[in-house]
Amino acid sequence: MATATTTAVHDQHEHPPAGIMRWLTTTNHKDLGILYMSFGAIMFFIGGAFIVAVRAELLLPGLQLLSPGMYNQLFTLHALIMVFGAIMPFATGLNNYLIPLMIGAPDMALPRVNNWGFWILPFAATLLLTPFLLQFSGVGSGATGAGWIMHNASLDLQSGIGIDFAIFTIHLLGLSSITGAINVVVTVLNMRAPGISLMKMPLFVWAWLITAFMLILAMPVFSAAATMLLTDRHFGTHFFDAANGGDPILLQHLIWFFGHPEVYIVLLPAWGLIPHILATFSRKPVYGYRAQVYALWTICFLSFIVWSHHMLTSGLPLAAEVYFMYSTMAVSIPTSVLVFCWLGAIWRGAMTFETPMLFALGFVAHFGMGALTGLILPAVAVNAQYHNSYVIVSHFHYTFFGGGIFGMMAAAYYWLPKFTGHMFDEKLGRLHFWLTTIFFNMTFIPQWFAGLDGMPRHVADYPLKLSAANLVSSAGAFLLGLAQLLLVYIVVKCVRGGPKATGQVWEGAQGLEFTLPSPPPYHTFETPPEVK
Amino acid sequence: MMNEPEVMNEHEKRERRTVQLVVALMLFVAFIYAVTFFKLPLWLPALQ
Amino acid sequence: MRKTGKQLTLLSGIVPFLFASGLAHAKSIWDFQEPVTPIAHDSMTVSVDFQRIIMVIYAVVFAIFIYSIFRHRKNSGVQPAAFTGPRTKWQWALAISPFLILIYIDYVLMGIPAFHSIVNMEDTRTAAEMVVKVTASQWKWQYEYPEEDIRFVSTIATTQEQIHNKKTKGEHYLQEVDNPLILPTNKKVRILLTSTDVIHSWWVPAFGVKRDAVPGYLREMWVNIDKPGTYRGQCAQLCGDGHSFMPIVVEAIAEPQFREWVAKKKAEGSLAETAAGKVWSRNELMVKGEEIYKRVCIACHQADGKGIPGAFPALAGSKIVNGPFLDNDDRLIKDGHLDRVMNGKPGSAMQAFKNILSDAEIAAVVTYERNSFGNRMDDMVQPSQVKALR
Repeated sequence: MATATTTAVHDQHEHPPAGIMRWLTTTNHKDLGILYMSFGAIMFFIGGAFIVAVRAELLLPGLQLLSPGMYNQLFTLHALIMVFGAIMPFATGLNNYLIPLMIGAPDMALPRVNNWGFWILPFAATLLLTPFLLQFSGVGSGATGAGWIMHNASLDLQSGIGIDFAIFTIHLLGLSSITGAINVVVTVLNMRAPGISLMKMPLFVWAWLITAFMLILAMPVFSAAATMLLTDRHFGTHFFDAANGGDPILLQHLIWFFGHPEVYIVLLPAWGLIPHILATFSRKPVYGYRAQVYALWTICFLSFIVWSHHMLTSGLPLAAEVYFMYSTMAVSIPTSVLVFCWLGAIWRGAMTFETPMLFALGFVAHFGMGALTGLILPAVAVNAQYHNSYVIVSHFHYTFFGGGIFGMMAAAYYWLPKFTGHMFDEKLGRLHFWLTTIFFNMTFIPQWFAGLDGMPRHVADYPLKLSAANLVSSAGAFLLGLAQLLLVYIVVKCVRGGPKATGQVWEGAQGLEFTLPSPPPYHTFETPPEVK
Repeated sequence: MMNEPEVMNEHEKRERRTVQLVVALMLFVAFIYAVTFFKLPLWLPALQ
Repeated sequence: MRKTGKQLTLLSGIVPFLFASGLAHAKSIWDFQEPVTPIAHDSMTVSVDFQRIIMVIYAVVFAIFIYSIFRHRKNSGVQPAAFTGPRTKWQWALAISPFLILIYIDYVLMGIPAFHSIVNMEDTRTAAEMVVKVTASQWKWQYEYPEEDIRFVSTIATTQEQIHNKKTKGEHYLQEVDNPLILPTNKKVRILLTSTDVIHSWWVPAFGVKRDAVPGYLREMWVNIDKPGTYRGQCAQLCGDGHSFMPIVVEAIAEPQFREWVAKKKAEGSLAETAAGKVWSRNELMVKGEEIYKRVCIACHQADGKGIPGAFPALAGSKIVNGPFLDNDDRLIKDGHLDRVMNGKPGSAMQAFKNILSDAEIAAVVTYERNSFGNRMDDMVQPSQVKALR
């Protein structure tokens, strides 16, 4: 593919200031990428700690540790933090670091906006967690416990201050995501090195361009819905208040119009980077490049016209139910194009199985299960049995964790030597993969069967016949959490030192970022590389 | 290799395109926000 | 030899078990709870079939992956191919066929029966023989038989001690109620749903139906139970702190027994009428009031009447409870104790209990609250007063 003929320009006075000021004031895409990814990783562990507490409560029937109100707060915060605090910032960090390198640009198009977009995030997270912490000193009734998608409008209307904090958090996150997305669109459309036409861009860049468009269309709807909830609560409007002629289902429509694309916003970056990794370790070019680009666009389009399949039990009219069933089934077709291309990517390759490859294959295996279980869900009559049960919890963790997190882990291991200049401990990496895989399945397979047997979501306690499934699932969750500590150790060890990584890092790695030394110099591609 | 004025020109053109694109995207965001706030509450109940 | 012998023993142990489970139609882990309505039978068949289909798809796709992973390894000396897409006609056919199969599964194999299932599920009116209205509130269900003029509230019967592991849990822990919904078998029952506060969702897995109860709207669904028995479910929409403790129990009985139950329930109703007429002693009111409090109010205001700070106000020492409730003309004082109980507080979890409790029950619980948790008002409310204020 692309080869570059450039070296970094070393300019003494362009070196970053030392210490904390470097990170506060930086507009460098690599520094901001590192900040985004570190933030995502920290939030991953906070969100994980919350869910460990939830699973501890569910270990045995009866209430042992948490009050039901505290329980509701914990799973709500877990979801909000994992989706908006962990996966999305981590994926944004990857795009910050990699897109300029992949398209031969010196930096993102709007570097200061980039800095601003990142530094909103810690404040947003603090705002979200403030009411949770305040309740321990007796102020307020805690964080929101209305579920991450807050779609029980009338429950949101009567909740405490937690929901107001969540509303402002959503506005801040929306600001951060939208500015970030605009930055990506402008960078990709405007800053490509000469010779990199759109259809020559790496798939990761394509996936992020499409993700950015989805964010720009979906995020304002979410923000507007949050604003409407705020005015309903404090300024006398009645958008959602049934007692005054409002419509509680309206909030579900608005939230899911955002919420369904959001699922793909989380997944698309992973779909974009998996082909890179599969191709590298199969020592083959990417399979079905055009098919994948078209499939990603198709998924982007479909994601905006299927939202009500999240509300099939809310009592939609017959015609709407039929429409949303058939449109949702259509999503399976572009998705299977992607799976087919991943298979094509490894077929007749010369594979080796380093940690990133293991996580990429784990991604395919788990995401495949998430996608296939999704195939059953749109059938409206059967959906009545699955909806709001643990079947759904199991299904979407196979897509979010099995897809999203496995994808992010694969990316982290794949580019870690590029970021740090050191190879990580391969043995420990593989151990981390196998532990994660085993305990992930141990956590979420029992949930599928608990759901089939009638266990609803969001419950702090359950009937005795569901004890076995919950016991296994909780044990799996604790071990899964412990296994992630290994990741911290591997990353810290890799940052501190290790065998030197070459510029190409992996034997089969292709792409502009691998033409640079590892780690790449602070400023890269100040003159555009020449791409053949 | 391009000579100096042409490089400047190229740079300015890119900067202008960037500004135009950013403004267009921001207007689009504002438009979606406004439609959601003012119009969707009237349109969506048709789905009930 | 010994190893084979061991395996054979194991196999001979497993095979009859497989057959036995097949013959006895024992519930497998792939099944829903035993279905007893047409919709539930239909859903379970579709669900089980579909789990089989996706297992086959998964197995086929991953067999190819595994084959590739074992065959196409660098250390077995394979030279990597360089293709980036299908090239020959045969390869194109191979690439297109999975999608044709998928479209067939989506829109024919699954899509056509699914369409008929939806139409069937949504047809609540044709040949409906009976109507039941379900009104959800935090965290109880009110059941109403409009044609019979019967109305009662159903709340969880599992005690706080059992939930907090201080007493042993019964067989139907969390799925037991004080007043189950009674339905006749072999009759198409149309169920209307609404809510007084937040969105709830009525779900009994054995019936294969789940529908949201939305405040301000009337939703509907139907059941036709083909087997007498007790069926258990619970609220499936996150509805606040008591979401886990909002069970549904339905007892399905044959038509003649159902008629008997209706007659008995109607007699109880007229008994309540007379109860409202008689003058109650303070003691009678206190005993009855405690019973009602433990059933209806305890979830929010707690056993000690102290509520949950920040979420539910305390009754102990409350200004409202320790204040007057009637003015000089025997009218309700706005936001007084009795007004709050009868008419609720709009925009909060405190609902209008005059729709849910009888005159005697309201009188008793208000009397109880005014003279418990350290409140000493030394007064009482008579059912006849409540009746007059409705």
